[in-house]
Amino acid sequence: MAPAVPRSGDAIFANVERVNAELFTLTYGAIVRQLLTDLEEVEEVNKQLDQMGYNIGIRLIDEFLAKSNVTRCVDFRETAEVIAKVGFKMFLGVTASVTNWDNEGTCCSLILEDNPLVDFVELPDTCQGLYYCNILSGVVRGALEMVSMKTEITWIRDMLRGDDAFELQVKLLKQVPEEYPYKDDE
Amino acid sequence: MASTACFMIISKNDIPIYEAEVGSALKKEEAAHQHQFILHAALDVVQDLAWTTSAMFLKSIDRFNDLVVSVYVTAGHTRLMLLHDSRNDDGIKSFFQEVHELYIKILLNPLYLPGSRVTSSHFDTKVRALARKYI
Amino acid sequence: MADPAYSALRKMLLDEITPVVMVLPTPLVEERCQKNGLSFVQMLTPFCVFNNIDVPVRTASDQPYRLQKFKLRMVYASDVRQPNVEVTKERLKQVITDAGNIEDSDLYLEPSSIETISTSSQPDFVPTWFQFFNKEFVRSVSFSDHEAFDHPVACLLVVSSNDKDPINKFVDLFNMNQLPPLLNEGAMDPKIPKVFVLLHDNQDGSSERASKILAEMRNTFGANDCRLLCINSLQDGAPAHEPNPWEFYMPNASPDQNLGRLLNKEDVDELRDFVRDVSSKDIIPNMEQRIRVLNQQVSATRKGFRNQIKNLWWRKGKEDAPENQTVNMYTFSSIESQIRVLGDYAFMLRDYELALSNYRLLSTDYKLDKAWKRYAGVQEMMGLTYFMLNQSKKDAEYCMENAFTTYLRIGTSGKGNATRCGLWWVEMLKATGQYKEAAGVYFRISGEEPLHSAVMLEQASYCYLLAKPIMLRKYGFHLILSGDLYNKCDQIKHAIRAYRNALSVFKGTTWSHIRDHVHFHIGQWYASLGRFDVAMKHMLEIVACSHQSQPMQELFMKNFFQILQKTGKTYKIPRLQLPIVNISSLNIVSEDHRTYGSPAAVSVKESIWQHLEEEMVPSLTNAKTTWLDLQSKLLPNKLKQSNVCVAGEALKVEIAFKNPLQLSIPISSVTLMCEYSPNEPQPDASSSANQTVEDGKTNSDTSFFTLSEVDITLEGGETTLAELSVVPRIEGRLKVTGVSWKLSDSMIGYYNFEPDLIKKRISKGRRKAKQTTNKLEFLVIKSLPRLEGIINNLPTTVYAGNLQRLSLQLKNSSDIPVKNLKMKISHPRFLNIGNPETVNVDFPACLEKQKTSSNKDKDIDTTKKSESVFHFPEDTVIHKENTFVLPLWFRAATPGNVSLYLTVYYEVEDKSTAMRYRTLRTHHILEVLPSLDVSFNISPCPSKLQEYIVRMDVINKGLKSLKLRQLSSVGSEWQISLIESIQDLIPSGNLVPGQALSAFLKLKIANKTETETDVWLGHGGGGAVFDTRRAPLVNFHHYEQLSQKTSRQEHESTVDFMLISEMESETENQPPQIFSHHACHCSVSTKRPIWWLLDGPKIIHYNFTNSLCETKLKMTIHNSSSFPSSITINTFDSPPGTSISSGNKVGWHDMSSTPSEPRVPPPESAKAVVLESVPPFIWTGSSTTHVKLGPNSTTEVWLLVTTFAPGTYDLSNYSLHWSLVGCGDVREKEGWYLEFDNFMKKSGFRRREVDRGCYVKNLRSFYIILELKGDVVGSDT
Repeated sequence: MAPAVPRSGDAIFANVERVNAELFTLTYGAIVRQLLTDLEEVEEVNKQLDQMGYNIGIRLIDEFLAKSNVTRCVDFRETAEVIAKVGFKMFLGVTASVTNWDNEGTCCSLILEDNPLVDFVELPDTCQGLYYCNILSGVVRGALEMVSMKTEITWIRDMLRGDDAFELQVKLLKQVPEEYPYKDDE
Repeated sequence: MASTACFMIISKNDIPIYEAEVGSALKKEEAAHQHQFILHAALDVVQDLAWTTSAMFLKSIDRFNDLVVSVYVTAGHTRLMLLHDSRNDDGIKSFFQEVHELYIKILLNPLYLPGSRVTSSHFDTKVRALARKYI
Repeated sequence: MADPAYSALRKMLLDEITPVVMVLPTPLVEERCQKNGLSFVQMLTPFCVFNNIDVPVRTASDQPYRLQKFKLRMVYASDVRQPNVEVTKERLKQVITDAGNIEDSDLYLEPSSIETISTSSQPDFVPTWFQFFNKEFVRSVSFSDHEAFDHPVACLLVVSSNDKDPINKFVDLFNMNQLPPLLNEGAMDPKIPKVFVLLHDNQDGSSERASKILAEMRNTFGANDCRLLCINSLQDGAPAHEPNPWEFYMPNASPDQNLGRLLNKEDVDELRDFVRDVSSKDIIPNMEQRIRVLNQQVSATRKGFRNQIKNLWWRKGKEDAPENQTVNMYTFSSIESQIRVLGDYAFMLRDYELALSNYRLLSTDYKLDKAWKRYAGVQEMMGLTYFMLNQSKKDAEYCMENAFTTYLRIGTSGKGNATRCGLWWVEMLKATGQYKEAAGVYFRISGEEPLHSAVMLEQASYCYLLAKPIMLRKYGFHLILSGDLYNKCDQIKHAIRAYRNALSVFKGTTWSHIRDHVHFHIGQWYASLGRFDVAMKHMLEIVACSHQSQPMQELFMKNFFQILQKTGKTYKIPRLQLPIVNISSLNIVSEDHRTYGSPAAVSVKESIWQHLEEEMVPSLTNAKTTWLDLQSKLLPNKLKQSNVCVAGEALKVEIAFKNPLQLSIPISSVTLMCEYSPNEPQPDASSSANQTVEDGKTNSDTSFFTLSEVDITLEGGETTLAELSVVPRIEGRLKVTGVSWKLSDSMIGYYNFEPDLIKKRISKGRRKAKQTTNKLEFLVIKSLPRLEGIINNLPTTVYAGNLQRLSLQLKNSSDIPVKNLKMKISHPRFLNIGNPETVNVDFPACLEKQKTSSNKDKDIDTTKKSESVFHFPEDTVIHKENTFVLPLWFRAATPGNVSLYLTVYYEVEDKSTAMRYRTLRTHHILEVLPSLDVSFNISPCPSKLQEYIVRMDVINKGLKSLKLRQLSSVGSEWQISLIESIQDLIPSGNLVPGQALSAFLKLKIANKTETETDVWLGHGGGGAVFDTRRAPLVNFHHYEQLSQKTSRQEHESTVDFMLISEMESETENQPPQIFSHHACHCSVSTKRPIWWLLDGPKIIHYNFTNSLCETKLKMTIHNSSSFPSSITINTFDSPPGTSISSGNKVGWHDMSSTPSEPRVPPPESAKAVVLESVPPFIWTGSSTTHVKLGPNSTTEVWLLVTTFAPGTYDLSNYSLHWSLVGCGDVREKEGWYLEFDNFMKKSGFRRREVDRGCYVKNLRSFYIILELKGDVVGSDT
């Protein structure tokens, strides 16, 4: 019995609170800039961003499940689909596409053609190696971890580095079984 | 296309943050500093005019021999200065406006420190293209 | 009217535009005057200026007013003409040069800062000689014929009393045609009022003769035009003229010829009175008179309506007159010039209204006549008059501009006038405080004459400085412009002054080109003046001109080095920008108790090493305490934390130099700067500092430390990493203070490292993260032994599986022996330790199998404690100059880039040292290329139980051809044998690159007596077979097993294979390289828990005549699962569907069709007898049989079948039910369950929904129901 998952987040996106895109972008930019000044190492900033994203993700997942009436997904493929189509649309206003499945279906790529985070952004020479949107990977990781999927997320492509899109590789490491806490018989 | 045209962006505190020789004439060595001198001197005039008028585009505010200085003062008092020997003011004006657009984009880049040099190659190519188009 | 001299311009006009008196002396007069070192005119000049000559004058309209200030210009008649252009130019040049030399003194002072300039008032900084220059300039265009104020108003005829026949002298003085062109050409009225002066020299005797002559004069020339002037009444010199009135007017007169030597008080007074009388009694009244007369004429001819009309008509009349006749169309008699004269006179007598009205009148006329020069002149005067009248500034400026442009319009002839006009205009603007405009005018004045333009531009710049708001940048810009012009007409000093002032504007500017330009030129000019030190100061500003184009950079550098070597002294420049020191790249490698075998090892993460060493070294913390509390005994506390380095061991420092330029610069003797200070007493930084700066400079081998020196050549724009080192000699504290280099032999740049900066970098950087102290301070402890370790002939690139024997060499350079060595290897899979005995055994022969397996146990135990540390034999003590060699076995386990870490821990003999132990860390990177790719596929043998068919697939992925040598099944429980010989698979024994090979082997469980675990694959006869149970093969296999461990291998019985191959080494008489490939945990478990085999005699010869034939069939059932199972066999008599098909004997076997099926000849196919089908057989004996079968056990059931006629029978109709007892719910987690499920699905079963425990399959001639029952299903078996 396949759950009635909204295949796109447009409906939800239509009635969530909005914020000015530029304000949003600049706010995020300010965060990154501050991180860069505080801990002068690009790697550190990447880590920090990921951590922040993680903290967002573990909270965001509940919001997400509450707002979008997504019932539980049967497998990882569906999960990825939901993230790409509903999740991204709902919180970022854009939809990602899921591709590059490997054959055992534990690793795929979310591809973002456009990404509101990186408007106006251009990496100067001083911070090459910065994953500007690393917060996204953190969010996805955190959210998935809350639904008991340990994932490893890496950036494959990055527009800021001259690629044609953002590609986020999501790799399912292990799926912690949610065991029913009571015995069946009594 | 102007035979000589030197475009500079001067930050609020009179520091040049971008400069480009966009003239078609092959640039001579002494031209570089001469242009800088002229533009630098022209700042004085801008200083006077900028507060008298509300217009951003101050056309041909200063001249040296046959070279004319046109300036575009942004709201943040960043000055886009063009030293040119051509006469099409509206071309220059639209050039300034478009460069202003680009500059705003640069300014919005959170990784760009306001008042620091504009090193973006993308910006550079765009500006030169605009120069070829308008001046 | 306010004080007429309240502005510069007024002052200027009042002494420029004044009546001119033409002087005509006789030579004798001059000669007399020269006694005083003065010419006649010079003698009179001081007295021509009257500050309160109180002369009543009346204007044309009879308004009386009194003239207070007045001045006469005495000019020799010969000078009343336009001065020669060249001469004036020379004079002006002279003026400028003098000025330059005067300025010379303060040329080298720091330029006053721009603030002070802008606050201070004008005269402080505007050079004073400008006025003088301007005046000279104005003079240079005087006596033009188009304006009348230079025309003499009177003529002074001077005759000495010694002249003979003075009267005639007077006459022919004036009649001589040396009169100025103005008079001769009729530009002015030749009959001008004359004053006849008789000069009497008192030294020539008494004045009777003089008075006689005077009387004579009186009655010839009229009474009141004759004067007597007596001078030289002093006999001999030394008068006291205080102040000497002449000095001011003759500045360049040397004091020794003291002026007015022979003039005593009375003479001076007489001179004064004389001039006063002349002016007040003759000149002024004459002028007044003239004005009146002219005024009447003018008003008669021109005033009034009628005259206007007439005038216009008349002018129209001569409209058609050609232009060029304007040259002389205006004689003095012409009305225009009369008006002009009238105007000028009126101007000179300060009757400005009159002047103005006349000028107005005149300008229209000239305009109509297109007499532009005159028009301009009139406009000019109008402007001045407006100014003097102090009314309508605008008009004044308009007129000046008008005049200026007109002058310019008429070309070269008007240039001088234009300039003069401009100067007046400027003064006018200045007077009204419009400095910006004034500057603009100055700029316009500056014509093509470079020198003058230079001066004008400089004045313009000062105007900008005075402008409100102050315009500093314009100031600077114009200064630069004028400086360039000065330079063009080689007035270097002026150029420098201009630039230096400009510098106060451009100081610290970020406009790169401007800064470079200014500094570069100033530097050059100072150099040309020989002020090299100052020049150097400026040149240093431009060494880092990365933004300049290459030719400019070359130019700069060329000059820079020229000046540098001219200065001849050496400079030490802190933070010299050439090259740029990239401080973030600073990397200090100090070896305390960690020593590194190679630079590569340094860059490895500390965590790796620590993880490697953690069980070898006494744990880091207490290791620290051990040597730290040792220090605390001999050190002040604050040193506790500082880094440690060992005396005699190099302290390596890497730092990157970046060349900002596009041209290559050689920098020499790059070296560190260090400070040494002894431990106790408390080091005084000062003494040590200056002492060691010496060391830093001259790399003198002091007792404290030695510094390395490197020379680099930086190509354009490149960044190179300089590796420097300092070797401390004795104990103490060493501090790396900075780095210094020589740009050329006399230019030393140095860069001081800030400790905090470095700390930040390094503490964030890789090593020493936990130490939070100053990274530049080092505690030098007394020298320790240091092991050098190298692995001999470790290949950099090998093929996977290659097995080699290497040896580790440990060398101890110091004479303190080290002992108690341990070693740890990061990848035992690649490298492990052979036992020292096998050093001298030859390889690979040592691998071969001997009968006596003597030292097997030893090797085994090395494998057992494989994870842990390898302890060297207790007795190993490495002394000086004997190297310890340890054999190592190397095997390239997996393809790819591998980095091996290897640390050796050793302890120092004597306990006195600060460190008890040290570790040697080596790091080796090697690239492993893929070679053979071996895979095994095991499937149960269809015909026999407990036998398996093994397919070995070998692909040579390498680039060299390999020769298979041997295949072994490791361990003793399996034995393998070739099914077909390897020769006909690969006739030539070796596998060329890319070639694939698959061979089939038979694998069976070995019975205990004899085990044939090795198969010789080699070409030709059996060579020596390698022993896979001995080191190193067994060790490597052990690690392979560990690494290839899979998850569910514990369920199955597995077999490990080892394929050994060899490759001819490139060089002859070299043993071939040995390769070993390991395939571990190849599972032999079948897919099904139960499987069985129905077997019996294939052919029965029987005589059917007497009775039926009974055949015994043996069914062998094997339960390979781990559960006991119960099995039921049913036999049906009537086969469903008549079914005979010869050849299809598949049904006899389980239906999992192994790919080896086609190769294995089915046992029956030898005799495929084709007979027509016959009535079916019947089973006899019990139709159902129950068997209980324990886990992993085999049983046999006997079945009996009865046939009635010969034929071929398909004994395929029986069913076998089996169920595993008690596998129950665990089934779900069982590995095999799923596989079973899959397997069933694969082989076409469909799962029955009703009872999920049961599988059904219909075969054509074969019907089998397999029922899978368990307690869960709850069936009643």
